[in-house]
Amino acid sequence: MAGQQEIDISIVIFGTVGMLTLAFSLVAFVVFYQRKRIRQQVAAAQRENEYQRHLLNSIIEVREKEQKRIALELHDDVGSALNHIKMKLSKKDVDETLLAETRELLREVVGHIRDISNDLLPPVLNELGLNGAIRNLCRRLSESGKIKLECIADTHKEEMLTPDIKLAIYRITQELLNNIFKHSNATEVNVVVEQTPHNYTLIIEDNGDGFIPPQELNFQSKSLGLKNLASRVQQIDAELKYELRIPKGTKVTLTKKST
Amino acid sequence: MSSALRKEKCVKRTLIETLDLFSELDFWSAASAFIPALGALLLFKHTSKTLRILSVFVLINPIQEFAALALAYNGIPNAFVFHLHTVLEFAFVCILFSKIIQVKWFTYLSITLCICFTIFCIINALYIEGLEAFNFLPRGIEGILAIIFSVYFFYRLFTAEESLDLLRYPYFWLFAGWLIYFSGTFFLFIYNDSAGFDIIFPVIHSVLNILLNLVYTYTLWLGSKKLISR
Repeated sequence: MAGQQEIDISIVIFGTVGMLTLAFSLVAFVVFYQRKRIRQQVAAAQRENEYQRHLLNSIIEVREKEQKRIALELHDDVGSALNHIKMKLSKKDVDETLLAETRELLREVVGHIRDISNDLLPPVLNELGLNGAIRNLCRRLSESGKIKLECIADTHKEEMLTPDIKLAIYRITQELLNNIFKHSNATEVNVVVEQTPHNYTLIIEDNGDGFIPPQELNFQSKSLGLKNLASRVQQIDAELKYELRIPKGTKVTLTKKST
Repeated sequence: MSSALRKEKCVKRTLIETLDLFSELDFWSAASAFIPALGALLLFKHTSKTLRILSVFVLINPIQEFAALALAYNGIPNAFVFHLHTVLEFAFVCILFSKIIQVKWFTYLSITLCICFTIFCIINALYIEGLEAFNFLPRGIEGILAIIFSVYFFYRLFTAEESLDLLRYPYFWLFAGWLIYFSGTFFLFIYNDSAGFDIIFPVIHSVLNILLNLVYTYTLWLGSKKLISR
């Protein structure tokens, strides 16, 4: 009888201690887990802030570079050509040859101004739509003959995108194709535009050297061009995915949900 | 005086001192109910609607505690006070839990549980343990249900998308207090017939009850602080 009572007391004591240990452990676990989660969220927010700060800096940097380029083009090409014309026309004896030379110079100046203007706001976007502008861009680039460029984009389909987004996608395409031409050593490039009522997808594939996806690099190590791409993608709330192709080359997919 | 007699006297004195300590612990356990009650009175204006429910409960608590003590002091059976206390306590646990969790199905479940538990307590008081005996059975069942509620609350915290600073979250303290109190007293109510129970029960129960009353106070203080700072 006494032995049974002792056992009962032991059960009560050990049971109580066990239950209290479990209860305290559960409470402590939840507290530590939540603290860890908060720490991770704060770190993620800090990383995001840092990313945004770099993005903003890169936007400013790109804009300044662009302004500098336009200023140089105006100064070196347009400015010097106009000065040349002014000097020629200030001569007293203006003959037919001089007039022909001046006309040629003026034609060049108009061409330069058109190029600058086209760079700033491509008129093809308004004239041909985004798909037409991309096809036009591909055609112009393939004229160099260095790379075989194929473009599949249905120009009859109307893109359900705002003008700002169209311009951004056009710029992204320009930047991606320029990168391929400059750095990839590719011989073939395929540009495909896929459209559904909900998505606009642009796929650019090449058979070049391959490219380390930028998401695997930290932001500081990205080039200005890539930062510019990232900022444009973020600006239109799209998604840009890089994949290495087998045996060689890169596939870049830009996806924008229709607004 | 023989050494055996001296030893017997010494054991008797130790036992009397121990029993004094237990009755003191019982007194302090009952007295600790005044701390959250005082907090509830002072902070009532500044607490949220949900915490006002807790305030009402902690205001009723010291009345019950001291009614039980006074009846025991005058030799009147006081077990019926604990029967009443259990019903009230579980009702408040259910109401607070459904208010905090805010899940519709749980509100219905808690109402159903509350009604069933009250009916069971009445049956227990009339036919099973009797009104003059301590209500171990309902206390044990209440403990199990409160532990399940508390674990569910922590599970919800664990799976919630939003991260909270738990040490400043009043309901976290409330459920932590309940989990610890009901876990700690669970075996006491289950093994109530054991010899030596009269010694173990007051010590563990009083310590946990004091702890729970301090947790109630801290919960009310945290809740009011949040509203004041808003």
